Amino acid sequence: MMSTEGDVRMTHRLRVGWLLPRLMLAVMATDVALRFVPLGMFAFRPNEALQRLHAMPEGPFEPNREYHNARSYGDLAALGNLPQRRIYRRADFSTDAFGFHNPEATAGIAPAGILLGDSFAIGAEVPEEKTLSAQLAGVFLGPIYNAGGYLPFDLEHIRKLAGRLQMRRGLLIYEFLEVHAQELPPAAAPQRPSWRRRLVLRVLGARGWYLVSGFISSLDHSRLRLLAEKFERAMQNDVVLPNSFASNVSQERLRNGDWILFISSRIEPVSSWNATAARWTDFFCWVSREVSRDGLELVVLLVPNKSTVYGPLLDSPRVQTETESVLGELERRLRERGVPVVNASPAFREAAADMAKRHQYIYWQDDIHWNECGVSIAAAEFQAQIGSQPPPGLVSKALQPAAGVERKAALPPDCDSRQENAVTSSSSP
Amino acid sequence: MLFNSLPFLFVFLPVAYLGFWKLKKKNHRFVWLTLTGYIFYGMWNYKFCALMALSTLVSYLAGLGFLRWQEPRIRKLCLVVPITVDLLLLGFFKYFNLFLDTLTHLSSWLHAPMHLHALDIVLPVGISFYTFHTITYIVDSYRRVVVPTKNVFEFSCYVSLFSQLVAGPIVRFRQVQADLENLGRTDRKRWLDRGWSFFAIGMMKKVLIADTIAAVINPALLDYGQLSTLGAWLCVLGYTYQLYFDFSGYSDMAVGLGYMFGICLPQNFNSPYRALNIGDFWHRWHISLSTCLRDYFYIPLGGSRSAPWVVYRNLMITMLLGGLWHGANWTFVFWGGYHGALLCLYRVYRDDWDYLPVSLQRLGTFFLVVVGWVFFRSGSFGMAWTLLSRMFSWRPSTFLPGLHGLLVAVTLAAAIAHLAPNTFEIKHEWRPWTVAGFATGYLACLLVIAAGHPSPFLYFQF
Repeated sequence: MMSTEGDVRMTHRLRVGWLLPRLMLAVMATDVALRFVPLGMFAFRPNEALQRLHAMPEGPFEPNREYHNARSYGDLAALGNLPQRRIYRRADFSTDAFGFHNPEATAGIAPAGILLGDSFAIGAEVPEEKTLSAQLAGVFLGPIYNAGGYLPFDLEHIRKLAGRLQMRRGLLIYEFLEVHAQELPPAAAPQRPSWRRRLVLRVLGARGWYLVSGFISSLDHSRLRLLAEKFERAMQNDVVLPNSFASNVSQERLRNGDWILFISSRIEPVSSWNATAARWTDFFCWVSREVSRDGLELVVLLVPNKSTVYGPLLDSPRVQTETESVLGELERRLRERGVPVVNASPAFREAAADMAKRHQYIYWQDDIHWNECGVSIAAAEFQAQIGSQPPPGLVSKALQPAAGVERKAALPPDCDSRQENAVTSSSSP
Repeated sequence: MLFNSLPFLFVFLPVAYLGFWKLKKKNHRFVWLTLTGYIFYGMWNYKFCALMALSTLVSYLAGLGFLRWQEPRIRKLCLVVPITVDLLLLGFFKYFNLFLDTLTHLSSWLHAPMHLHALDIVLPVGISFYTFHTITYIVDSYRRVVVPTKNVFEFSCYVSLFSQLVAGPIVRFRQVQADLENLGRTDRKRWLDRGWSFFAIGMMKKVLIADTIAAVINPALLDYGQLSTLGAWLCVLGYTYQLYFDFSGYSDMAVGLGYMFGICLPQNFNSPYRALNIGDFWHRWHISLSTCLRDYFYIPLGGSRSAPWVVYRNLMITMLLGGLWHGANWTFVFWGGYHGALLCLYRVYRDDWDYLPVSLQRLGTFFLVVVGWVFFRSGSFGMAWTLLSRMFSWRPSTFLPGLHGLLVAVTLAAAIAHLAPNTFEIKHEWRPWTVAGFATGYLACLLVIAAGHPSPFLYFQF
């Protein structure tokens, strides 16, 4: 009798119409449960691990968080699904109360300047003490607040941030990557929030909006999807399945025999920038004028694309002509209009050519971004150009070199120690 | 919204299913299915819902007209007007740019160039399918094969039933009329197992086999000029199985979903690659379309009860139209013509062909079908000729990324397509270990879908 009942129950449960809907429910429940696992466990670098889910902080990351990974690697190796091209390195990353990448040691100290910019300014690919803001802090009498992020430029936010940081005067350093010259500058007047957002804010209040936006964002971040993607990438090894991600990056060979990766969409020199160069010049002039009322002095730091620096060093060189030099043109226009500007491009090219002979690099071979050598050159160039010819109106105190810092032309720093720290998963090209 | 997407599986299907069975009255269920159909369709582009609503309304009114008027003249008007509206909609959205393009080429060839710019027309998903649904309803009502329904909800439910809305099978009203009439009395558990079994088999066909093959052959076919002979054959064979597993997978899922909601949809594929001749192939491939072509084009043209040349003419016209139905490209028309010619040749040499050993007949038919798929897959005649020249002239082998995966998937697909019983031949009464195998396969599908790349079904474009 007992066994008959058991058989009946077993038969009932092992029907397709019983099992498959429950299997779907189980997968759905797993997906929901996995959303409570920190993103960092699935990420290979800080940008994904600490990405902002909530609406409230101004910075690009979740506030007051830390990320540590001994085996982080480059975004291009990930983008192209090229595990053999990964260069493993340690990543330590912390965020402050506003969701920006600033170490705790700088909290509570009025900064000498604020650094704006994109992921190059954030500096997730270099040690915390070697980011651009950290290296520039060595140049000035006080820390440089790293406000690098992905959010669109908003003058009001910057004013508020300066107020919160109790910064009455100082520098506003705008790190500008060459690729942005193709884009239009941000609108002078920030867009008014949509009526839906204003309505939600009014109904839910700031705290409610914080929670709701976090919840909505979490729907977009399925850990199950990340796991499935990892499996998919593992299968796409060109043997079992073709690597559909490979076309995202361009694998090139340098004249010294080493390999180097570029993002496919940025391998060619920046084009069609003539119109935008004028707009960017106007934009920077406007920013300079506006922030000077708040006691801030704008300095624009022009950073070249990886392909601009290493294009001429390739086996089949891609040489940018003078007329194609968007950063040179932007520098000329800004100088004419009296906006302080530092163009890191010539120093980068020179250093890259010199160091490539020793198989050393100023950009990661497996990443879009610069490494600490690149940052050092940019900081040294900044010190050399701004320090030797201070633009009129710059806060003199801020331009005093820090103790022990010698003012001289940018020299390629010694990068041997950093190269030894990184472990290449495949040294052969 | 795709069947093989998480929003469909985790949100739409459970809500549609539970809501449907919560309702008890037939009309409520009609309304619910109509609503879910429009939501399902609107997820692609909500603007096209109006188009479907217009087509539904016009056909429904035509049905009422057939009920009300018996005079031949008015009945003919009720036939012609709605079909004209349907065909105009289909013609504009699907074929207008082909017409402009052809006109431009023709005028240039005649040394009187015209500069006609293509319009920015977005093809509404599934328009070919629901237009056929409404046209078959109108024609059947006119012929008094079906009694038109007075219930607008029943009719709109028939047209917008989400399981077969965007890629068939092309269901005729008479095929589901009885189920629709009994919708209020359907037993939920009666077809549940069968429905899930169909659905899971279809899902595995699509996600595990068709998409795996597509992942290898699609990048290779992007650079078709570089293919070796072996590579070209592998790609074309891969496409042969991809198309079958993709479309029959979708049809199985549609049938399974139909069962879950108490509606039995007709069989669309009957192991077509086991066909003995080209006529047999068309009795097995996309059955709902081929029977429509037969009943609404071929037979009205005279069918096969005429002089031989008239029969050949009828076959060619029907197959050319069938090719054109598949897409606004002359390669589809050529593919239709190719099959029309094969059907004519078969009629001429039927006795000789049927005399061949069965295995040779199967192999020969399969070979002819595979060659035909070259035109079906190619975006242009240039691509088709290049592929054919690669297949039939020796070119040394080059590495095909993902070759191992392709070989495994194609071997598995070939074994299933040629040797295994098809979904309608299976009893769907599974032993526990088979159910466990089902669960494993289905779980694999869910994980592939979770990776975030649900690929659309090939027949959505037609």
